[in-house]
Amino acid sequence: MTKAVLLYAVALMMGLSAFNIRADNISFGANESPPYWSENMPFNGMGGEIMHTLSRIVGLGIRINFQPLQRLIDNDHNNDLGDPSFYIKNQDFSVIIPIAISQSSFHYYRPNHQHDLYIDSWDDLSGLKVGILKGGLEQREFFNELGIQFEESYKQESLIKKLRLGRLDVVIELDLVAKQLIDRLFPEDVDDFQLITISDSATPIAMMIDANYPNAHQLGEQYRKALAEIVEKGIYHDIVEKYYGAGKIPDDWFIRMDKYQRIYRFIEVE
Amino acid sequence: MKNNNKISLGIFLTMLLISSIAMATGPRVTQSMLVVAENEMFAVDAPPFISLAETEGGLNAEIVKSALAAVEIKSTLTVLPVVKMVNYYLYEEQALAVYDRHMSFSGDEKSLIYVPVFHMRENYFYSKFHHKSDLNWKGKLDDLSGLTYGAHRGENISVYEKAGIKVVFARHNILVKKLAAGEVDFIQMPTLTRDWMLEHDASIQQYHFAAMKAETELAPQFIVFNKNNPEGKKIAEKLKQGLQVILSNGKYENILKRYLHEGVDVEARVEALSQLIKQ
Repeated sequence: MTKAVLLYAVALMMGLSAFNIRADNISFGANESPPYWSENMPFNGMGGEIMHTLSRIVGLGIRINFQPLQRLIDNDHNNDLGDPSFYIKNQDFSVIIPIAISQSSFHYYRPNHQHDLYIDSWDDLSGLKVGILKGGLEQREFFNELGIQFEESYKQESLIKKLRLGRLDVVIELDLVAKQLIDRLFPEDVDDFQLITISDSATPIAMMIDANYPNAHQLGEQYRKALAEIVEKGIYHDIVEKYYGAGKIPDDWFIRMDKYQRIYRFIEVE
Repeated sequence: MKNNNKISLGIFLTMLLISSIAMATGPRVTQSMLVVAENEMFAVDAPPFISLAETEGGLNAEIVKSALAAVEIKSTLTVLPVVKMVNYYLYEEQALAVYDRHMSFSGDEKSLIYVPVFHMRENYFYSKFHHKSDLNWKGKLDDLSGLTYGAHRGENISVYEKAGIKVVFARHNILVKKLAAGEVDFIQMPTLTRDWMLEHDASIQQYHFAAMKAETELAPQFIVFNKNNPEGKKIAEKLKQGLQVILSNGKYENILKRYLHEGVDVEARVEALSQLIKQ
């Protein structure tokens, strides 16, 4: 009998413990988009690493569920990770905290060009063949009139390979995506790939907590405090630099982060 | 619709340039990527009035672009995903001008200048799937008492409450879904928006968007300039001058003809704006 009571007590404790683990966890949805978010990268990529670090400070376990983007957009009751503009048309959030930014650049393979490229306006791309990810081109007529030839590809990897082969003159791609692909595909040629940053191309990468999530505002404050803490201690810098490379974090990173944090705080639901 | 005679509408400008928030998983390539914003204005995506799917940015964007071009002014339109972001730029960053049909300008009307750019008709729409016998609407909201109205965020709902109509707030995309699902009985939107949706979205079923039968009035849409912006008064005045130019040289009428369907009263709209802009 005593043994049974003991077993019951242990089972109860295990049950409570399991309950507590569930209660002390928070789940987010994310779209597979390495190296920002990835199920297969250590710490789930750069954004994942920031989120795991913040959650540890807040005292929560975090689960990132990787799903197709459209499914995440259609689900209007979950917490999300990524660019808020994908989600805020369909869903209200009590917490929107930009935790990083992404920005795009013109990438080119220097040995395929006689000179360094200077791109200040679209006219500078006239006559060149430009590669982009399928579905990214807007206002096609404008570019046709300038004589810019766009080639769209379903795979970022194909764009980088074609760039090196000289089948594309320039590729427009997110900095970190291109860097990761070049490092993996052409580690010997990394220095021959050049980039020209498009200064106005930055977009926020944020954590978003659904409007009906329990204690969302309180959680948001804890996450904001944790973010400030890791920025101040240099932990944040080290994480981001790990992905960008030493000394290569964009100069205006924190200025843009600050701006996005003000804008998105303004649109949080009370 | 009389209850919406004072619709706080806007409009939006662009001088060839439209910047927006990226929507694809890769970079979104638009002509504005390499252009420094000039006289930047902010709007919410609201086709066919503001739309990145349209070459010139939509009906209202093209009107404003053409009017400002007539007086040699350049401007940039930034399209944002939600109204609250437009509010942020207006109140926190003193934006030059903003546009959205359902913006509520909290308290500081004196700092705003309304410039009319287009006249439209709005109508109430209901789903024939959920209301097989048409809704009993004779032009008075009292006729709809007891039903549920799907209101856009920021919309003034006092007239509905007074008429005993329940109100559910949501953004446009959600309201459209709620109407089809029978979660709201009717919503209000411009007839042109309904037509645009039916033309561009294969998932939209026409029977979910039956217009209530009542004569609706042409109501002006405005772009709203901010006097607290150093250029606010000047550009608002320039836009009025530019509108007069394109009204008189036929350009305005030509733009309307390209966006409006045959049989839609272009002449009445040209006349309405001509009268209003003179005031």
